[in-house]
Amino acid sequence: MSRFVSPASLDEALEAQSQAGAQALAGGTDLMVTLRKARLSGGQMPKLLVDLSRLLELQRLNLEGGAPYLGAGLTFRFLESNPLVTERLPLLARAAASVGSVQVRSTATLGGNVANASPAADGLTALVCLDAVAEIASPRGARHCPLAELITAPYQTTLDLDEIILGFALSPPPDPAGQAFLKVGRRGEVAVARLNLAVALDRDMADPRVVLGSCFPTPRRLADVEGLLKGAAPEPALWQKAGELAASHFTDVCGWRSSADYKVPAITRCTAQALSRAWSGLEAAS
Amino acid sequence: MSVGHSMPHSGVYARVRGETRFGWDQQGYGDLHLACVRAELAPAHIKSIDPAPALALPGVVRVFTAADVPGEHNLGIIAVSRDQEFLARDTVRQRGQAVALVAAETRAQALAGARAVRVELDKLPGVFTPAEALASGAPLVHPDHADGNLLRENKIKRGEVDAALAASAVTVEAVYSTSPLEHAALEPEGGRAWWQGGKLVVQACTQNPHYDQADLARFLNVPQEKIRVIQAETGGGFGGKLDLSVQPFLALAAWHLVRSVCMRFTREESFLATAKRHPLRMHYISGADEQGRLTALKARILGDTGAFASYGLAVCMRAAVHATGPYHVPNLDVACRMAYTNNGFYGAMRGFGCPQVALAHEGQMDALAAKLGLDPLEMRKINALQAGMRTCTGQKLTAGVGLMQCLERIEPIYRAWREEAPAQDGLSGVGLGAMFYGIGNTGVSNPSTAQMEWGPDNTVTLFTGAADIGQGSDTVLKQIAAGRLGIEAEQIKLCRGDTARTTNAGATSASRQTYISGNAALAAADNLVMNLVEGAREMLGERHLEIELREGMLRASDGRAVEPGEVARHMADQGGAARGEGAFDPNFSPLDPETGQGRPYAAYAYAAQCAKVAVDPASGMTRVKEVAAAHDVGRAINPRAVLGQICGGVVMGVGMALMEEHRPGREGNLQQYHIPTAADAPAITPLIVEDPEPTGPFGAKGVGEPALIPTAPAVAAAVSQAVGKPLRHLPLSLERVMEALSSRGESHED
Repeated sequence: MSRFVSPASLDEALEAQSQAGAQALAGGTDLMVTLRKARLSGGQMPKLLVDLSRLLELQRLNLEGGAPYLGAGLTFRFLESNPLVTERLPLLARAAASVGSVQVRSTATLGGNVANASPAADGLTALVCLDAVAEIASPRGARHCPLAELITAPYQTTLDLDEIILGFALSPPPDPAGQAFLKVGRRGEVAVARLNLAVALDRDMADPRVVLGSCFPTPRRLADVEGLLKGAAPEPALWQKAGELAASHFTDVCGWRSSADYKVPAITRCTAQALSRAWSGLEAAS
Repeated sequence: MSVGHSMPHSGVYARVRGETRFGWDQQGYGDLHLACVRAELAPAHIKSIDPAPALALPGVVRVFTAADVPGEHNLGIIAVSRDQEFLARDTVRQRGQAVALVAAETRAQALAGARAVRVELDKLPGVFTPAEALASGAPLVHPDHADGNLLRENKIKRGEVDAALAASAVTVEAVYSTSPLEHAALEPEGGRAWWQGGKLVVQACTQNPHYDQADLARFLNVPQEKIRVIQAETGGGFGGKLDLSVQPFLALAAWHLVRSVCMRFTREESFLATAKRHPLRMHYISGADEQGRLTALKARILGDTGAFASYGLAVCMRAAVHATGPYHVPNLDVACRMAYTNNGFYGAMRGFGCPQVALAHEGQMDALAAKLGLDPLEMRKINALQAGMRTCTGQKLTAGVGLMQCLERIEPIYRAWREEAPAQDGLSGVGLGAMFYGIGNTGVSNPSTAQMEWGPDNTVTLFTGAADIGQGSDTVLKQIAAGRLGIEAEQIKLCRGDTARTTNAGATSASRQTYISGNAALAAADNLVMNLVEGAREMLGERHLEIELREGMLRASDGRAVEPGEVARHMADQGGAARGEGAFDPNFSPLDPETGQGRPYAAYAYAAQCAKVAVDPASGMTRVKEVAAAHDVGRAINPRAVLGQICGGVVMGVGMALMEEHRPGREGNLQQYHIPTAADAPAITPLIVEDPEPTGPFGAKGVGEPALIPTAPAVAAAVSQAVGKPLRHLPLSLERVMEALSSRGESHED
């Protein structure tokens, strides 16, 4: 049987989290599924569940002036509906709206999505596109860690047992930017992404970003594709070529598995579609 | 009047408030908890079962194995094919089959005990596809079964197929297939057993309490009277709660330990241990003349029944007799075979094989129409069964054939959707599905019985064995009885699904309760009226007085009127009671074993549906946007319940069409196995068609299964139109749709 604490301050939370067998509990929408499996199979249960939902430090939001920042405790329901987020970070708002169901989104958090480190995490794909750097607290102080370094493999992070993610400092592409997020799932809601895709284009094509999720061990920016797009003339043929390059990067990394029969055409077409949408969004805005 | 008026389902408010006590909610203070030890590989020989490590754990009371079964080991819902061992004796035939049962003081202790039991298995060679199973020299799933791994072959033969196909203007040959499906009822299986009044009482979720009683008596080797089964409120069944689930385990443990016990399956266990929908492979050759009239059908259907027969015989026969769909086909050669394999067993699921064959018969109609340059709706109208025609079993239909009306009802919607401008950023399509469905069991007697009582205090009670599993038979049966008695349905109390207080109504399956148990309730009401009239005559002292029950009073032709309650008091004083007995068995004749000719059902339901889909050409993601569904139900006793059944069936059909696929041998849970969410539900236009069935109660037939059957074929046709290529294998997964998108324009012939 696990004990449950719900600390009201970060210090208390960090202290609780430093105890042996402690497990941070954010929204719990992934954790509860894992714990149920462990319980039914006689596996190990955490001694202590540390609820993070009362920590104001995890609820920060700054998208107006200064360095953009999102607290780890913000729920997807908040992110999909907050006007600042939908206006400034539409790709994140779309990613948030594509997670689970309303019930799941009302409790699931951005920080929990990152810490769980599923290769298919929708929030993670969006954050990678926004060049997020995680701010992490522990009794030893704070550290900052880019997501690519934080997440090393499926469900594997460099988080220490006593660390808590506070939030994410973002570096979105320069304004105005066209953004798009696409998710392919097996049904309309409550579906794990078969693939997801976040794209951001600025007017000068100076800092194009293409992130593909649910295709690699961790969501990743496609450097080859971004290189192709950088400074290039935006046009449908370019989107198509970018899609083909994205797909060949996928087979280079993952080999031709059985899933490639689906994924290669899907990556090709969805990448082209997302780029086209991002660019038309940019044109419509100007 | 009660019949034809929408009433809320009996018990619905309690359900919404969370007060309903389902199977698992029956657990009581001090109950022992049970958990199964399940085999992780199959087929396998059981080398040893060592309960010692479990018995050493705190709280574990006892570990049962097959050696503890006092009676018959082989149980099963169809008497001629009982072959399921609820605790495997020597051989494990499917993965997940129980080999031992642990009883402990708490559920956690029972689960820990089940994990601790040491089971040694020797893997045996097995068969995992029907083709493998029927190959010569294949390992036998049931070595003592007479026909090797072939459970059954059903044939339908009429006319001269080869000659008719040769003379046809067009023919189409194609192969269709469907996947194993899980019912995924909201309530996983659960229940409780205890001793009361010298009887072992088992209260669990079920679709068939009287069958449960009979098989449990066989299992424990006791007279049926020793076992009382009470249907717990049941949170959905869809055929998945027709087979026994927790009941034998509950009964066995309570029998030996003489203590109350409770048990539930986890969702994973429900996936692992209960029936799935039979996957069928359907090879069809169909012909039509230049006018589009069907000339012949040659069909070879092969299904997997898994490790046990369950309802395999019924699905095999039903798939064969519905292979043509709701059309007149003069020449037929249909053979449907069902094979044993070592996959998890397949059983009843909403439609018994008809949703599977509907994919094939509707796909053939579209393919023939395309070859002939005919509109798909016209093609169906040209061939639709009508009164006076014969079905594929040679049964002459006389009345209540509402298919043409169903087609006419959806026609304007179909035409409007077809003419809509295509979506700008995607592909769209519109497709049709039609069906007929025989009400009740196929070519066998399947009676129902009911009783009614008018109490001295004017309470009116209907006694029925019919299990309401959420579909609404409680309400409909009350409405039918009330309709005959001329009282309000709310006035009737129901005593339902308790083998000690009600008599056998047969299974809640085959869309049969409204029609068959409805007729039994009607007969019971008639009989009650007759007895009340008799009682009133006696009370009034006039043997030959004309008396009728009208507006709640027994009114005599001489102007006198008495309350039925008063008559009931009088009858009680005489040592009797104001009761009525009713029974009904549909008129049928068995099918000829060689030709499949006969009269398998007394009544058929008909339906036509039309689906509109959108397909994203980039990802293959498909959404069903709208469905129009016209169903001939004879007479809608409770119209809102009919609409509910139609909408539920359509959504389930969307699941079958687009996403549902259980993979035998793999872990099943609701994370892996996708069923539709509210976001996947299309906008549905349910349309009730009422072509009265002369033998139905107030003209009614069933709708439970028909609601589902046409949806998947309609969706498949719509997606086929959107991608420009016929799709013949379900589900229409992302992969299958993408494959079709990538190979568009290639030859359509397969």
